[in-house]
Amino acid sequence: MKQTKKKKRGQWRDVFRRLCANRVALVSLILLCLILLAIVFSEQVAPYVYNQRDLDATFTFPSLSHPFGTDNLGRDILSRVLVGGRVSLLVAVLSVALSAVVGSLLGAAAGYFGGRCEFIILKCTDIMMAIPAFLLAVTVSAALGTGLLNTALAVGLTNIPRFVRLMRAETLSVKGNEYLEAARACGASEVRIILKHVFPNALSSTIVNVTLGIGTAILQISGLSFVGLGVRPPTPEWGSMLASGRTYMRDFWPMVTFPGVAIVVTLILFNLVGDGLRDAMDPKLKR
Amino acid sequence: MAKYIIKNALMVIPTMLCVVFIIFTINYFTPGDPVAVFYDFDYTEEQYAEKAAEWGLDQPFFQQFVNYIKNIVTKLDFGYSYYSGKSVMSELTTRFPVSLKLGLISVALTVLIGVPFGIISATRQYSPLDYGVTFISLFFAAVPGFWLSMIMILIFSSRLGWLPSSGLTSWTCYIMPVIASSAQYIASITRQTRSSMLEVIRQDYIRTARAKGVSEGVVIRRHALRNALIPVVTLIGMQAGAVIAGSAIIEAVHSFPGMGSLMMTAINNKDYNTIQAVVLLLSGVVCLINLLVDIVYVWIDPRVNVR
Amino acid sequence: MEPLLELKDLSVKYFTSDGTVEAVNGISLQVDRGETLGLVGETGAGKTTAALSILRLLPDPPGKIVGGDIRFQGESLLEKTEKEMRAIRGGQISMIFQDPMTALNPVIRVGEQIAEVILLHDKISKAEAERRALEMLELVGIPAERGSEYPHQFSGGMKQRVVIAIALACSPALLLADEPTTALDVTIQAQVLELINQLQEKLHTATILITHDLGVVAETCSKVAVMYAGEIMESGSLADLFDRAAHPYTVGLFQSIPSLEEDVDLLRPIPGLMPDPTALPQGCKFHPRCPYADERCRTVQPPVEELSPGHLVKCLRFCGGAEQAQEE
Repeated sequence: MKQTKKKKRGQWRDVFRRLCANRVALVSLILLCLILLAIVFSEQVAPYVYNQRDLDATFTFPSLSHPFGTDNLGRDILSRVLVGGRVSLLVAVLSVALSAVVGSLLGAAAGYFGGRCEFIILKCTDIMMAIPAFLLAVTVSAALGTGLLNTALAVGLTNIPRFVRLMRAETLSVKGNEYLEAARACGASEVRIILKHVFPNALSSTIVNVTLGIGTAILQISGLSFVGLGVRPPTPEWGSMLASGRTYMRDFWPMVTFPGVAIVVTLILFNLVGDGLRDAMDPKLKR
Repeated sequence: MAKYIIKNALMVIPTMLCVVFIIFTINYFTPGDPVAVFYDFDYTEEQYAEKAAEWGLDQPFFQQFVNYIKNIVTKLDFGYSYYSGKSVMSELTTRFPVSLKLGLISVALTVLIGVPFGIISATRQYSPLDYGVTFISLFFAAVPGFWLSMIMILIFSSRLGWLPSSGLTSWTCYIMPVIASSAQYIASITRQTRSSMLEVIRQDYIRTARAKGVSEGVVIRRHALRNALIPVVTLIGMQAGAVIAGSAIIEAVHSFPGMGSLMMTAINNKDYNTIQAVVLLLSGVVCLINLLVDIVYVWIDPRVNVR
Repeated sequence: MEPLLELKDLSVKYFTSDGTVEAVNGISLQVDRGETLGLVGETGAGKTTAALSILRLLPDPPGKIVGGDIRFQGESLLEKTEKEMRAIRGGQISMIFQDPMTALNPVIRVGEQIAEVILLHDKISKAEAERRALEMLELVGIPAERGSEYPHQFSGGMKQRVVIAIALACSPALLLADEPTTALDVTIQAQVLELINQLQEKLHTATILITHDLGVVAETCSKVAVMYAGEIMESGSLADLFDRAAHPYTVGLFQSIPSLEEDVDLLRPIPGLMPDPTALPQGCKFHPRCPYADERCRTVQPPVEELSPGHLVKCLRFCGGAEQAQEE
């Protein structure tokens, strides 16, 4: 037991070492952490209070005092992008947490029990995947209404299938191993077997999937908010900021530009870190 | 082969039935009384009862569902718009072809650009071209389509005046919406094709081909390409839905007279029946594209037939 | 007579991010026409690398031939252009790979896979090539009708027969068989070996049989070379090696296989493991595992010594200098 623990720790150290050897991934990880910190502590970092209006200084273009300019109500766009990031990210993390937990449990159950249970779960995911994710999110979001939690729920639901598939595949690959037989022979209960043996093995691919999933979720959330579902103004969120900027887009570009740039930069970093993690965790894929 | 295709084609029917059931159920339980909203909460008892009967809302859930399916199958009728009171289909007949065209062009562009660039990038791994393609696809994979639409309008319509920003008056109106709805997916297909190709090139059977004296070009075309395309085709099937769903928002940005713009208006008006119709039609298109993908799959991968 | 294939002091290195792997370190070999050479050694001894170098099919990067020469029919293969090499690959030199499960292209019919190599090297029509491909299939014991099937419809042994058909379709002068039976069931192994032997005699093809199975070598080869850590430790005729094994490693190999004739209580495995190829030991590569190793083995590279004509060994114990050194 002790030895396996040591091996596990060594494995993670290897992952970390390989991640550090990959310069692109390391730099993106550091940048991503910086951005995440800035977003989490946005109220402290932001130069202005995000909802402070200044009707004498509406639609000002970027300047030293307002690096991203001010919007139609004279609010500082940089501060709103930072605070808006907090909303986007919070909703994204919540939704991915939901899909990862529910999806992994269903996937593990499908892979482990097989038979009818597997058939039903897989058919359900197939049907869910037949509806384009964004349209499903629109329907659910329209039914649930707007707001942080409802949006997280809508987006989380639509992303369950990818985790179901991943965890089922992982479970099937572990299921054939003899140590599972051994565990069962020792009288371990089935739930316990899943918890103790399957999940740790599936952890690395789940981490990669979560990292990439947060990126996808940010996109979907901003899309929902953009069409008027999701998070509504005055709560700043990247998608809803773009939606309100759209009205003034022809004469005043900063309102539609900077929240979009924020999405793109964050997404690129999430993708790079996700790719880097995948390479680091599965060295045989790279070379 | 024929049996496989027929089996897959028949599978579309139960899948679509389930899809309709899910969307219908979600819609049914969506809070809000469509009749009351239609009259702006200002109606008499008779008016209410009459409208509810006309829309079939006075019947139990299951009966409503059966009627809904029956009307779609027999009359292609998606019920009434809860906002305007008109038949949803009357709006859709002109808009569906427009959206279908936009969606299909975008999916085609995704495949026709994404796959070749992925292959070129993989066969010249570590060349400046490979770095260029990798960098550009990394960037575009992170760009939301609707934002790209707005930025393109800013640059090409407002600044340069090259392209019309909205409406559908000539074929040039398709340019920006098509680019916006496919760019992100072109990027991800490129990335997938590249990595799949690199994976295949390392396989033993490629070494066997080289040991036969096959030239490098033929190794790529004849031995690597088909194998590399197998996972790509799966991804194309999965992304076709995303392309089509994404084009819905982009239509709205460009005030494109398609179903997407209709859906956006419907969202603002809480016109759930129209939203439902659009979602179902687009899901249907995606189902058919997936059927096509399944067929291409058998053609590409001989191992599928056995199952 | 000039040998068909001659390796002269061939060295191959892999330059990886984890360090430089010295896979093959100055090996010399000769194979005559029609003769079978057994190349024996543990996994990782550099056997496959040596074979791939002959075809110039090393994965590059990271693999590079850094020294020595490969001469085939009197000409250096290292000086050939890529186009000239392609004419040789599959035509005059062909290779059978270790794992038949992955060696065939899953999306191409097996008949076409055989026809392809014929079409590449013989100037004949496509129909003619396909006819000959089916003949080859029959020759390796597969009904010609199955030529239109895909590899996944064949068992492992059948796939290896297809691989053999591909390799021998153009009657090559030299066949490199890289552990052709390792991935197969024991019962199939004998059949496949028998098949290679038959065809080889029929087509008068010289063979380098790479294996770690001394039993296979005893049955099929006329000459043997024993590889360890990228070097040939001992080489000679079958009798030289099996009856008069000199190198401690060769002796160790024989002692670690069970024998039916002799009554041995315990097998004597060679202690230790193959050295890490990125950090090979100084001196004799085998000294950390050698029961006879002394101080000098740690520092001095043993030269090649000819014990009897054709029987070469690389060990200080058989080296004239060794006794001298001990006397000092």
